[in-house]
Formats: sequence, structure tokens, C-alpha cells
Amino acid sequence: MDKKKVMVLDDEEDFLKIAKINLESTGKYEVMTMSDGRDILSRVKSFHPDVILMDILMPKIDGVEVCQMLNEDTAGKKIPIIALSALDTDKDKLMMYKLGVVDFLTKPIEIDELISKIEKALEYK
Amino acid sequence: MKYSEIDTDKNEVMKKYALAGKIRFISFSLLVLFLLLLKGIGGYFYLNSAFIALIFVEAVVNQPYPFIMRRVDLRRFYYYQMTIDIIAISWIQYYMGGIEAPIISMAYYAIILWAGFASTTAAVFFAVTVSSVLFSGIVLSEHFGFLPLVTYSGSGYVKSTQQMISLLIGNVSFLFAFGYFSAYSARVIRSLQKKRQEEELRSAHRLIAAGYLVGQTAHDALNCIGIAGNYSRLLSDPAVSDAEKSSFPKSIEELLERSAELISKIGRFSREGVAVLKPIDMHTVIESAIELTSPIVRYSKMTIEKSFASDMPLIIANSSEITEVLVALIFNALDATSKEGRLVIKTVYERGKETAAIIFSDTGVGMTPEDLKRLGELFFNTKAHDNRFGLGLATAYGIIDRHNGKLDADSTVGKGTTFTIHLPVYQAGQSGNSTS
Repeated sequence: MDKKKVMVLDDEEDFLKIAKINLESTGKYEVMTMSDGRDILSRVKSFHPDVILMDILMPKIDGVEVCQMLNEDTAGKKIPIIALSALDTDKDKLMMYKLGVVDFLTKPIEIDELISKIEKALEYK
Repeated sequence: MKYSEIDTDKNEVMKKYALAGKIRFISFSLLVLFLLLLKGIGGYFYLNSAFIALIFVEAVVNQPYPFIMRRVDLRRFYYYQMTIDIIAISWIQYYMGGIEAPIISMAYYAIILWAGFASTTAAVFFAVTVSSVLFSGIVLSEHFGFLPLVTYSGSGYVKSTQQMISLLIGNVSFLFAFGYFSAYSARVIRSLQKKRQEEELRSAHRLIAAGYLVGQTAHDALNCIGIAGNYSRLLSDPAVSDAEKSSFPKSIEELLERSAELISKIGRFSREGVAVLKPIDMHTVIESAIELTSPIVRYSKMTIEKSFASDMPLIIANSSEITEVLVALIFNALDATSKEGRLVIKTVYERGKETAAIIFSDTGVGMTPEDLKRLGELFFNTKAHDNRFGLGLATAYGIIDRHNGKLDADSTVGKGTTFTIHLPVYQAGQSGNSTS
């Protein structure tokens, strides 16, 4: 069975490391991590992720802007996104859904929950 | 908040009020001496023991005893004091001048009360002068027969010119002293109430600012703990290689240290401390404010640049209060730079003036001259959706003022705003104190 490609975008290096080790140890995923979302489009073109796990609060470019960039790209707009966020209001969530976010996760994350959300998100692809 | 809970300024204000009490005691004692002198000259009604007792009871009752100061509403207390005063004065004048004197006293009462709170010492001086002239006019008119003698018919009224002049001079002097005292007391009470309000305001602002910071800080701390937990779990995972595992303990330690530091910083910020002034390194305080706000600034579009003077001496300040001001100014810059922006924090040692300047220049939206004039007003806010209620700058102005410093603001719409804090530098041999 082909491994599914997961792209993880977060400014926390430790989080990236943990996510990569945990996901790859399942043997089901190939993980690419990145800490700066500004070159997301070129990375998407080279890696072809099946799902993107992305933090919303990031210093250089935030998750909302990255989602907007992906949404404007023909290949990018088809990739389901799981947002790492503690968005409180339905209005915020609605906006994110419109930008291609299919699910939300709140930090600190549980690996089992993350895997189940990834599996669910892959159904959107 | 009760008076007893205000550590800052309490002693200073109590000293001022005690001085006001002394002035009151001395002025009433002088009045008694004056009346005794008049009695010595002759012609006045005998000052009986009850009368003297009243004067002293009044003076004793009006002392600023701490247990009264801590428990009563000071403005109301001031009115009580004035009521007792006016009864005493009316009685004195009844003996001195006749039945019309207490009526005039009532006019003094109203005018002085109004003047003490609503206006200034000049207003009191005006009120007392006019009242004295009015009173003197009546006495003179009665003396020369222009007015019918409506007076107390005791052992005699003013008969000799000498007695009459003594009465007039004494009356005017006393009223002036009384008016001065009233204005002084009112000023002290006003300043005390302002300080109380500022303290309450500061507590509110500190809580709001801490609440604002705590959300993001808690998120970051929890994140660190969560990742540390994950590393710890992976240590026993056979799928992870030993080479990878070897770096985990150090990462766990660093993450836990970082989360502890984040939590302790926010804890220190939200805690109310005794406001003691001491020599501190201003640059350390600025760094601490930047670090405190970093969980929020990190996710904003604003960058902070520092330009610190290398020759900066220590300043005399309370580091916790100054941190609060700096946090308020960083928040202010954050709100102003909604799109990409820059905040430059520069320090300058103003050698001639012996002050240190901390300059906050942002590239935000700026303010109109009208908004600039209203800065520092309680609840004034240019941001429609701001959740900090316009308390930050009002608090900042109060704190800097208490440090004998100055907070200037300059702004251009579309270009940005510059706040400059001037604080006195530490002079060799100078000792710390509480903010006053």
C-alpha cells in the first residue's frame, strides 16, 4: 500500500519533530515538515501532499494567509487541510472551512486523535 | 479597594493630612488666644469653659486619626469636619458680633465648601475676603449707627474703636486661615481620591493586561508540556531508534524549563507588589516587557527593534510598574500596526537633564491631533473593537507621573506614533523610596 503524504507546517521545531516521528512510526505516512509557509506552493508542487496539517498562529505568515495562497492555486485548493487552532467562534471556523480546512485540532495534540483526523481528512481527497 | 489596602502613597498622604490637621489645630488655638487677648482688652462677653472646651474638642475631633482615615469616605468626612467647624465658628461669631454673624457664617460655609472642591485656593481667598468685607461692613455699620444694632446683649458689644478694629483684623485673619485650611484639606482629599482611583484603575488594567497575555502564554506553555509528554512517550517506543531517542531528554528538559519560565513570568506580572523605588537597569526592564509580550507579538505582523544607549545609568523606579507601562505601550503599538509594522524602542541618556528617555516609535496608523489631546483620559480608546477598555495609557500616565517622570506623545496620521518616557536617573547617594 502506498504511503500517504502528509505535510506538516508549524513554527515549533519540536512539534514538527514529534509529528514526523509519530506519524512515520505508524508506517502509513510519509511526512514532510516545514516551519515557514511562505514557500508552500513550491513545496506542494514538489511533494504532492495528500493532506496538510497546519498551525494557524505562525509568526512570518499565518495559517489563514497560507490557506488563501493554497486556495488560489489549482493544485493546492484540492488538498484537505487540518488546522491546528483554538478558534473560538463559528464565524472564524466558517471562514476557515471556506479556505479548505476540513477539520480542527487543538494543541497539545493527542497522536491517536491526530491520526484519526488525518484518516478522516483523506476521505475528502 | 479600601484605603488600608493601598500600600503605595499611603504614608505620604497620611503625612499630608496630618499636616492639614496641625494647621487646623494651630489656627483654632490662635483663635482662642485671640479671643483671650480681646477679653484682656475688655468689653467682651466672658469666654466660659464650655466655649473653650468646644474649640478644643473640635480641634481634637478633627485630627486625621488613622482608624478614621482608613474606614470612612474622605469626602464625606471632610463635610463632617466642615460642619463641626462652622458650628464652632458661628458660635464664636455670635459671641463676637451678634446674631447676624452665624448667618454670614452659613454663607462662608457654602462658599468655602464649593471653593475647596470645585475651585482653587484663589476661590477660597476670594470667598473669605468677600465674606470678611461683608462681615466687617456690618460691624462697622452697626458701630457708626448706619445699621440697627442687632446683637447679643450680654456684657456689652463693641464699643471702642480699638476693640472694633481688633475684632475686624482678628476675624479676617481667622477666616483667611480657615479658608486656606479648607482649600488645603480639599486638595489633599482630592489627591488622595485620585490616587485611590488610580490604584483601582491600575489593578483593573493589570488584570486585563494579564488576562490578555495569559491566554497566549498558557497556550504556549501547554504546547511545550504536550510536546515534552510526547517525547517522553516516544522514549519507550521500540519503533524509534536509540540514536533519535538520545536527544529527547535534553529536549524534554528545555521544553519544561520554557513552560515554567512562561508561567512564572505571567505570574510575576499579575502579582501586585509594594511600589518601592530603587535603582534599576532600564534595559533589563525593557527586555523583560518584550519577553512578556512575545507570545502575542510573535504572532503579529509587528517586529520590535531595539536601539539602546551604551552610556545609560541606572534609573530610580519601580520595575514592576515600569514593566506595566512598557507592556501597555507595546500593546498600543500592536493595535496601531494592524498590517505589517515596526516598533523601535530606543533609549537615550539625557545628560543635561539627568533623565533617561525611552522612545517607542511605531509605524502604525497614527492619531489625529484631537485624539492625541485626549490620550491618557480614562476609557478613551481609538480602537472600536479593542478589548482593553482604554485603561492602558491612562494607567501609564499615572505611573510615570508618580515616578516624577513625563510621558510625551507625538503622532501623525498614516505615519505612526511616538511615545517618549522621561525618567530621572539614579544619582550617587540617592536612596530608594515609595512612589509619591
